[in-house]
Order: sequence, then structure tokens, then C-alpha cells
Amino acid sequence: MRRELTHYWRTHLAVTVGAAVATAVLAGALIVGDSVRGSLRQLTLERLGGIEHALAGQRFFPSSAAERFAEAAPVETAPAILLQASAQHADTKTRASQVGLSGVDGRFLELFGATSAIEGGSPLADGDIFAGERGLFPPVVINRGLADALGAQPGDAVLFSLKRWTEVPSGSLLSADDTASVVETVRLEVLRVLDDAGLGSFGLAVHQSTPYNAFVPLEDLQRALDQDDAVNAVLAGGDDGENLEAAQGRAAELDALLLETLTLEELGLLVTEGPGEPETGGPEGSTGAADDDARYLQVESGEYVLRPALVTALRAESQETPRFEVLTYLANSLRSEGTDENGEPRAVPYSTVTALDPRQDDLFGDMMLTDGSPAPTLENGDILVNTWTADDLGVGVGDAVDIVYFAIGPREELIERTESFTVKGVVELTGLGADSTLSQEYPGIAGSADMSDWDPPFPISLSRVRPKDEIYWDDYRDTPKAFVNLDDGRRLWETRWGNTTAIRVAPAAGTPLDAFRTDFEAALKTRLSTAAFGLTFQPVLALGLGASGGATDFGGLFIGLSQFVIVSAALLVALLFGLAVEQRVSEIGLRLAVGFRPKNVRGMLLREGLVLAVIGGLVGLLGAVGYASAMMYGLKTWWLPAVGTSRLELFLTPVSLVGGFISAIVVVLLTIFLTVRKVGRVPAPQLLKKATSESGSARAGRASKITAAVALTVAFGAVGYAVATGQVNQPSIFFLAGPLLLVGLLALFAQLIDRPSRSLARGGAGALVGMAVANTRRNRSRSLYSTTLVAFATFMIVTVAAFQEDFSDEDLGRDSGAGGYQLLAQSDVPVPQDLGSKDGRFELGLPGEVDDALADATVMPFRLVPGDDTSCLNLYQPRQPRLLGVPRAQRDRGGFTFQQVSEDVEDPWTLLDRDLGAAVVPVIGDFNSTQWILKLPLDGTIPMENERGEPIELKLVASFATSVFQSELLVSEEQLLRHFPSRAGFPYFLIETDDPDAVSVLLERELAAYGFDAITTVEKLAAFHAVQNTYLATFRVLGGLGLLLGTIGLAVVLVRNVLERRGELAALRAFGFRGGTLTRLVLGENVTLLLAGLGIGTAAALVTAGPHLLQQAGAVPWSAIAGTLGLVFAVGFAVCWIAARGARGADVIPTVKAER
Amino acid sequence: MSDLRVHDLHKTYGGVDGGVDVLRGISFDMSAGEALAVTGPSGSGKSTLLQILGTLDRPGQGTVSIGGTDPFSLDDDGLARFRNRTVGFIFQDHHLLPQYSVLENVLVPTLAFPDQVDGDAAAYARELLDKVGLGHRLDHRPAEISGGERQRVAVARSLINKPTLLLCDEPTGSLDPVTAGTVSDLLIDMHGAAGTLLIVVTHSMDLAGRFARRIELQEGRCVES
Repeated sequence: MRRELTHYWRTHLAVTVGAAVATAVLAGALIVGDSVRGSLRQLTLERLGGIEHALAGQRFFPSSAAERFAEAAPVETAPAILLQASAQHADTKTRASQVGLSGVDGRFLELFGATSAIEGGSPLADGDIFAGERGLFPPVVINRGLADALGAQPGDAVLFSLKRWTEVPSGSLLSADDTASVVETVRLEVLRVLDDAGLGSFGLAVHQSTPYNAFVPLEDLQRALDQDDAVNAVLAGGDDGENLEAAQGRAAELDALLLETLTLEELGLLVTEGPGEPETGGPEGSTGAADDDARYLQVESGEYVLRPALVTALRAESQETPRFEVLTYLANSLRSEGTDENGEPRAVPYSTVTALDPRQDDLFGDMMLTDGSPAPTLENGDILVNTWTADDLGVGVGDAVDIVYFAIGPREELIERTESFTVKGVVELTGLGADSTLSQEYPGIAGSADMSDWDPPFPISLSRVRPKDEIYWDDYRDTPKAFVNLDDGRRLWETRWGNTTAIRVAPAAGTPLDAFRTDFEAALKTRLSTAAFGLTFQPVLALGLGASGGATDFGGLFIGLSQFVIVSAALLVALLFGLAVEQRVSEIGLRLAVGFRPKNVRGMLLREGLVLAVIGGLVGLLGAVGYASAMMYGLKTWWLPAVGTSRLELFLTPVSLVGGFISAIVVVLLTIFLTVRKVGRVPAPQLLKKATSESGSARAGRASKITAAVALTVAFGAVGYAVATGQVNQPSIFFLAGPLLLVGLLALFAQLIDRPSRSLARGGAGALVGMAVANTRRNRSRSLYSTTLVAFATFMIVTVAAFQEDFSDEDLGRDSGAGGYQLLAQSDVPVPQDLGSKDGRFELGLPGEVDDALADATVMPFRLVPGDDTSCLNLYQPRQPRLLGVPRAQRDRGGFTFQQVSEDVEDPWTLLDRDLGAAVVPVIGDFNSTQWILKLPLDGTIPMENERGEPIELKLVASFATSVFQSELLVSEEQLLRHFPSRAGFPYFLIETDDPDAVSVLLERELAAYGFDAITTVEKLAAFHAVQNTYLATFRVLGGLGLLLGTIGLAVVLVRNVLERRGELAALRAFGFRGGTLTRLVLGENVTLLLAGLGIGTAAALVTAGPHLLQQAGAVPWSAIAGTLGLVFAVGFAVCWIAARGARGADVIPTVKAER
Repeated sequence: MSDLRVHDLHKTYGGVDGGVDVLRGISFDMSAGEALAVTGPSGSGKSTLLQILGTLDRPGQGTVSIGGTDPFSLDDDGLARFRNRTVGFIFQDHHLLPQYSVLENVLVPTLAFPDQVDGDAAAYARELLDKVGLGHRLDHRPAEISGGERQRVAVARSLINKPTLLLCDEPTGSLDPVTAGTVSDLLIDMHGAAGTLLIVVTHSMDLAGRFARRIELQEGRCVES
């Protein structure tokens, strides 16, 4: 075999190169996949250090609890404060948003890994990042990314703005929403700058980009935030690694342990015994609320309203024992129809009203009417007023009393509403009627000596407070002045946070309260979960490592991107090996003639092919490493916007190398097998005469006829179906139709080759053209290979050019991906008011300048549930997608273009309003994200937990064709609040304005405290499309490689053809054909193949990109397509020209003789 | 006046050792309708002579006049036109183009200069093919006919432009004796009918023997027999 291999070394070298290219591309693609996965895995390990589990809670709890937890925990833990902030350089005012502000101490550093703190390329000596001389302000250690963004260096002061944490739910009546109350700012001094590696890259979020990090000594941050001795996070180590099941088990174990460790009070519950001493006592002679021994427990929440999960647990725990539920609310006025002695309407300002069932168990206190009878059961619309109020309003039984109160609007605005009731009775200010513990210690109210000292978070008019009101306050404090039944109360005052402010439970008769309390508290905790309090451990390491598999299988992607190159390489191998076989037909014929069986000959050729494939494959492995290195370099540099990190490294795994090698060998051997299987079909005498195998063209013709019919029928059928059903925007149909069209047209071309061309008998100038065209038939398979190679390369390159997008001139109409908005803004701290309304801007204290700028603008604020970025900018596989709450105004406004809808409705936005059941939430996503990143089909669901820890499913009901919403899934605002009630305020905005530059600058300046950051929607779309364009650029590179292979194939065929036809060409010269004519003749036939390849490839590419081109409307990149085609033609023409020049030939007679 | 006049033809191929004299003063004349067989051992200069007579190569020395025209005084374009109109070739290997029909193959020489084709070339081609006995094979491809038939197509092709001079290089060299005889008959008949000058280069003494006039080349010199 060695002699065969060496004798035909030129041809075999070419085959080996083909095998090497196939191996390089296949194995290279797999290595790229390995490298991305390996890099993401490494980044995950690096940004988490020794942390395996993290509780990054929404609430603060005492450090002492964290310490008790640490003692009991089976793994190393570290308490911390983890917050998101925006940062501003104190001097230069340079800003950076989305900064991770972490309060940590030695425990955290030890857990993370002390040697992971790197400064200037070297680990810190003892890992103590806070070592050093403190300045005037508390120290902060920042990472290089943040330092560069701020232009900060050690010694500089930086202001960090962040959301102020309070237990009162944001957006509720009792929460303050002025900027000073919502945002707090701490001034810190940069102590040192860590490298963006190791500790500097710390982050719990699943994303490859290095976050901005700022570390502050825990105690300093506690002090600065006024959260002395409190933390909101616990980080834990472990040994579960990437074993997700084990890690989830460990996380559940930690949750249970935390619940066991924390007291109810530390969980934010207030448990008091009642009746106790009256808070303020009543006027002399009053019986007060409690003059007996304690008989019951009263459970309230630091959040002022008990979360539904707590109510459920409390009810469940007190099924066998007496229970009493109340809902107390603040009324702006209690009003009667009459007027006072001064002719003024009778109204009591600022009173508490309690919804309860007065006919409750005696244990919780009696409520007596003035006639000495017990208070009756209240029907809907009934109200009881106490004697003081009845006197003040001049009402008695049967009279009407209005309750005027603030309700919370959908935009968290306060809406004053009035509800009319009928007086059912007048209650004595004794017992339950005088129980001030039915009310809570409201912020800004409790502790005030006088009502005139009130400073509540909601607007009040102190001028309405009368002297008699002050007297009541002195005597009874916030004792309710009126009572309605629970149904009415909950109907009026239920909010998304709950509908119960307190629950009283009492022991069964004979059980001491102390004993009952101990058992009750312990039993209650067993009915609760930490999730109900927003305190759950996440197995961040296992999840991160799991997600590092990536949303996109880069190996698969690159194989997909490379498939045309692989096919081109296989075609080239087939072509070259076919030429080698043809070169040896007489040798094959001789072997057959002397008794070799066809299968022996085929086996010999296959063995030779195997040797060539293995040699090529081994060389190709080196090429694969080079190819993968080049791709990784490209991803880190030219295509950085697509991957967002330059920290990708090359990872070589034996599996990929061997897999790529074997796959390529199989492809090459299969190709060679298909080439040599013809050997043996041609009789030996014919082979001895060097007859070609073209005699099998009748069979090949039938095959091409069938292929053309099937492929073209399916392709046109798919396009017709898309047009008929209005799915012209459905890319999957066209991604099927395009390649099928490519195959079909190539098969059709094969048919055309077989058909006689214009008869030379007609003569004339056209006959020469006909002669050139007819010459393409001379070697059918070679012509087809050449055309196929050119068509494939053209298909790939034109498809890429057609998909290339430039958003600089993007039409930002409502149907565009920008939905008609020019700006997209986000804030680190949710803006508590509706920035889109004048009232909201007034409440935010924004100057009139902003009102003027936004006079004709539309600002659409969205609520947001943080989660994993679902866009192609996140290389990790998102598990808990970020959710955007779409307000009613946006749904009514509409806009954007939908790619898919689950139901045929006039307005797909209405699909968000579909009631799919309590635990199923309809969502809309960007098609690119749902299809490629989340891999979520239409009507598919994603499981997740709401903030109460309840399982819910997100069901995809529609997707946008292209949009600014790639990073999140859209749900209706109502659904978002139902499942994530704590998501108050608006951290995401879309703004439609004629002057985006001015509005952007103005809002960023005025809302700097919120970390408000606006970019144009064009920039946002361009960022998303940078990924697409990156892949297209990769395609272009691979298309170029395909073109190179095509060109090599074409050149080989042309040169070979000319060499084989020397005799024929010499004869033509003898007939009087000039050298130039022969050149043109050969050029003509080759250009025919070239043009056929170009035409077929272009047609198929344009069909593939059809929906995209239709969406592009006026922005079809025709010039890019034409330029690309021109380039392909120029390269092909140059090759043809060089080959055709050889057609001029040498001496005719010797050549003619030599051909004998 | 002779229709073909060859006078003192020399041709030397250059080499490092001073070159090889392939033709050393060949001279002969022929008149219309005359036929000549050229024989000689391999390397005697037969192919070179044929190449020069076919205007495919220029002589080193001496002159050639065909129909009163010195073709080598023409430029390349004129020479190609002259060859196309004046010279017909028949080779040992027919060199038919496999992708064309028999009729189209005969027409191929007319495509070199379509502007100078007289009358209906296709009709004349059919006439020629009729004369060579292939009128029923017009649409067949070369692969579909026998070796003798292919060579007959080549004969028809050589005559399509009504040449003054017909040059044949071993026209029966690859045919069996019976077919060779048939082709020889055809060649001589067609030549007689067309009145062309016919020069046949051959090793076949049978074929050469059928010509009244013969020359033998030996080491580049002409020995008329």
C-alpha cells in the first residue's frame, strides 16, 4: 500500500488536506464548546470561592441569630450584608450602577478563601482586605471594574446609594415613599482596589460578566445603614460541589435549621400576651382593655399586616383553640350627614377602624352596647361606633356614617375613597371597645405625645385635628373609634400584602398561657417555612456549575455553524478521491482482469482512504486546536460584546479531540466509500480503456430527478404554507425551506446538465455559448461537485449578509423591536412613584424642568422581579428568569411585533390577562430568548417559586419577533404583584420622547440617588444583535473557509479538466480555434458552473432569510449581499481564468498524439 | 502553378547542445486533387512536417504556399482564420467531443469563426454524414457509435469547411484492418469528390500503397518514392 500511497502522493495529499479540514472544523467546534463550558465553570468557582450555599434575604435579622445558626450549622457559615447599590465618585460625580455592596468580616473572607483576594496581580499577604490605615470615612475595598468605571483610586471618597430597608412593605399605606425615606446614601473611602479575579469577581448572580464589587467591614456597614447588629445574608460552605440533588438537600437542611434557630420575633412576628396593661390607660373610671390576667396571645407582624402564609399557619395551628382575627385600618375621616353647631359637616379626622367579629369568644374581651347588651353580629354595611364618636358625629342606631380612607392605586398612588355604613349600635369604651391593642404602633404616629406631632408616611392635614381629638388621643391613643365586620373590612382594605393585622389565639380551658405559648410558638414554626419570610438558602455553587453548561451549546452551535464547511470538506474529499480513482481506472481494471474481486479492490481503496483519513485527521487535530484558539481569541476580542467576558480560556478534553477525530474519519471514510463503491460496476475491459464511470449517469439522473422533485415540493410547500397561514415571520419554516431549496435546485441543475443544450446546428455566435454550456456535461459529477461547493459557500455567505443588521437607522415605530420607545432606563432602587404622571413626579420632588421635558413624552414604568438574564448576553443557562410586570397602560398601548401567539386574538397583549389558574402565569418573551436560551416552546412552561415559596408555572403565551425584552419574561403587573407582592416601585422604564438625549441626561441627573441609568433602545437592540452579528461574523469566517474549499475544489476540477482535455483542445486549435477563443470557451463553461452555484446559493439563502428580510422592510442589506456575491464571483472567476489560460495548450500534433 | 508548394523547409528545435534539426530542406509541390502519403520511421519529422503544413507551427527556414498564400505571412488571427478555412485535419484518435452529437461534432469547426461560414453549415454537415454513411446517426453521441463510425465522423468533420488541404495523421492507426480499409476507401473517395489536396502521414504501408504519390522522411530529409 505504501507504494500506492507514495505514487499518487499529489492526489493523496489533497485528500489528506480535505480530511484534515473536516477534522479541524469538527473537533475545533467541540473544543470551542468545551472551552466556553470550562471557562464558565471556572468563572463560577472563582466568583463563589468556598461558598456553596447562600441566603441572600430580603429582610434583616439579628447577627446573634446568625451566630446561633453558625454554631448549629453542619458547614462553615458567614453572616454578611449583601445589597445592590449605585456608586458615585464624590469628587468627579462619575457614576456606576448595579454595584454589589457587601458588608463582610473575617468569617466571610475565610469562607471565600483568603488567598483569593488579589491586588495588583498578587494575593494579599494574609487575605485581610481591610488591613490598612482607615480614613475619615468607613473603608471600602472595590474591584478593578468598579474602580475603572468610577475613575477611583485608594483614598477617594465614593457615595453609595441604595434602597433603605424597612420592615414596612414598600408601596403600602404605611411606607414612606419620598426619596429621602426610600434611598439612603453612605459615604465610604476607597481603601484598596482588588483585581477582577478571585474575591474581586465575587457574585451570586449567574452571569459571566464580572460584577462591580464593593466590600465594607460588616460592622461599619451595619452602622452606616443603621442596622446595628443585623445582617441580611448568610453564606455557607459545604462539600456537595456540583451534585445538585445533594446540594438542594443541604440547602433544605440549612433552611430547616435556620427556622429552628430563629425566634418568631427574629422572623418579624410580634407575639404579645393579652389583655395586658392598657398602653396609655383610659380616663379615670375607664375599665380599660385589660385588668385581668393574660388570657390570649396576640400575633402581629412587624410589616403591619400578616402575610397570607402566616395567617394560614396561624389558623391551622389554632383549629382546636379559640381564635380572633382583626384588620385595623387608618381612616382619614369618619363622617356623618349632619352639621355641628358651627354648621360644619360633622367629621372625625384620622381614626382607626377595626374589622372584626364582635361576637367572638369572651376570652378576647367583651364589646358592650350602651344599652348594656352585647354587641350584635355585624352584617355587611353595618358599623359600630364608640360613644365618643357617636357623640361627636351626632349619630345613633340607623344613621349613616361614611368612612373616608386611602386606598392604594395600581401605581401605588393613594386614592381617597369613601364607603357608607349604617350604625348598628353604639359601643361602650370598655373591654374590647376600648382595646387600643387592636391597633398597631404606626410609624410616625406611635409615641407621639399629641396628634399635632404626627408625622405619618401618608399625607395628613394637621389643621383638621381639633382639641377634642387631642383629648381622645391623650385618653385612648389609637383605640378604634368604629368597627365593621371582617368581610367589609377585607373588601375595603385588603392589599397584596394581606388582609389581617392581628390574630389572637387562646389556650383551651385549663391550659396555662405560658405553657400554651411555648408549645404554640414551636408548633407554629413547624407550619411555617423560611420561604414565607424570604429567607431561603440557594445551592448557588451547584446551580452555577449546572448553569455553566450554558444556555447555548457552543460546541453544537459551532458544529451547526460549521456544517457547511464540513459538508464542503467532505465534497472536496469526494471530488479529490474520485479524481484519484479515475486516475487509476486502468490499474483497477487490470486488477479486476487478473482475478481480483471488486470488493478486494474496493477494500484496497478504502484502506488507502483510511490511512489518508487518519493522517489527515491527526493533522486536523492540530488544526482543531488552532481553529478553536482562533475562535476563542475572536470571542474574547472581536466578538467580546456577544460574550461579555474576556476571561474565556481554551480547554482541551480528550473526549472532544477523539470525538472530533472519529467523527471526521467517519465522514471522510463514508465519502470515500460512496466514491469507490462504483468500482466494480464498470467492466474491467472498459476500465482498462480508462472509461470513466459517467455511464452511470442514467441512474444518477433518476436520483437527481427524485431529489429535485421531493426537495422542491417540500421547500415550496413550506413557503406556501407560511404565506397561506400568515406565518411569513416564522423563521423555522424558512430555515427548513432554504436548505431544501438549495438541495432541490442543485438536483434540478443536475437535470439541466443532462438535458441537451441549444443545438450547435443552429450556428451563429450563440453556438459558442451553447458549446460552453454543453461542455459542463462532459464530466457531470465534477461539474456538480464544483457547483455544489460554490452554492454552499454562497448560501452561507449570502445568508450571513442578509441577517447582518445595522441598528443605527432603526425605525423605532411601535411595531419595531423598540415598541415606539426611544429610551430604556433602569434604576438600582425602584422609583416609588409613577414617573409617567405629573403627580408622581411631584411626589418624587422632581423640578419643573423634568415636567417640561416629559410634557409630550410617555414614560412607562414597569415592576421587576430580579432573576437570571434570559438574553443571549448571558452565557449561563438561566433557571429563574427575570420577570417584568407589564402595566395595564402598556397592554392598552400595545406595540411591538409578535412572532408567535398561542391563540388567534386581535391583540396578543390581552393573552397576559388570561386566567390559567392560580398557579399558572401567562408570560410573553422575546422569541430569540425563549427559543434559543430558555428553549421554551409556545404553551411550554417554566417552573419557579413565587416569593412565598409556592410553586408556580410560567406559561409562554406569545413571543415577540424582536424586541428590547430579551433579558426577561413579561407578565401582567397584576400577576406579578399577586405572586411577588413585595415588588414595590418601578426599576424599569420605557420612554417615548422626541428628545431622548436631553431626557436621558435630565432623568439620570435628577434620579441619580436611585441609580437611574438610561440608554437608547437602539443601543439596547444593538447590544442584543451584537450577539447575532457575532454568530454571523463567525458564519462569515466559516463561509469564507467554505468558499476557500469551494475555490480549491473548483480550481482542482478546472485544472484537471483542462489537463484531461489537452488533446481535445489541441484538436480544436487545429480546427482554427484561436487561443483566446479556447480560453473563453473553457472560461465560459466554468463560469456557467460558477454562476449556477452563485444563483442557487443566493436563491436558497434569500428564501432562508425571507422572514428576516420582510421584517427588515426598507433595511434589506442589498448592497452587502451584492458585494458579497461580487466577491464570491470575483474569486471564482479568477480561478476559472487561471485554469482557462491553460487551455491555450502547447504543440497540437504531439499533444494530440500523446492523448492517444 | 502548384496548389501546395513546399520549398526547402527546415525546422530545428532548440536545446542546450545546439538543437535538433528535425526537418532538413523538405521540398515538394502538389496540385489540386492530388494525394500524397508521407511515411517514415518514428522521429523522422513526419509530425513536425504535418504541424507546419497545418500552419500550427512556423518553419525555421523555407516557405510554404497553400493556394498561392503564404500563411506564415499572416498574423495569429489571420493564420487561425486561414487554417480554419483552408486546412482540414483527421487524427488517429478521432477527438470527437463526447458531450456533443455526431452532427454537432461535425459542426464544431464552423464555430471557430461563425462569421465566415458559407451557407447552411448544418445542411452541409448532414450531407457529409450521409456521404460517410452516418445519415442515420446524426443525434448519437460518440460513445454510442463504433470506432470506425467515429473516424468517419472525423472525416466528415475535416471537410465541413471545404478545405483546400486535408491533413491526416495515422487516420487508420487505431482501427482493425477491415475498418481501416473502409475508412481508407472513404478518405480517398471523399478526397476525390472534393478535389482537395490530401496528405496522409502513416506507418501503414497498405494505406500508403493506395496513393500514387508517396514520400518517405528519413532523418528530416525527403526521399520521394
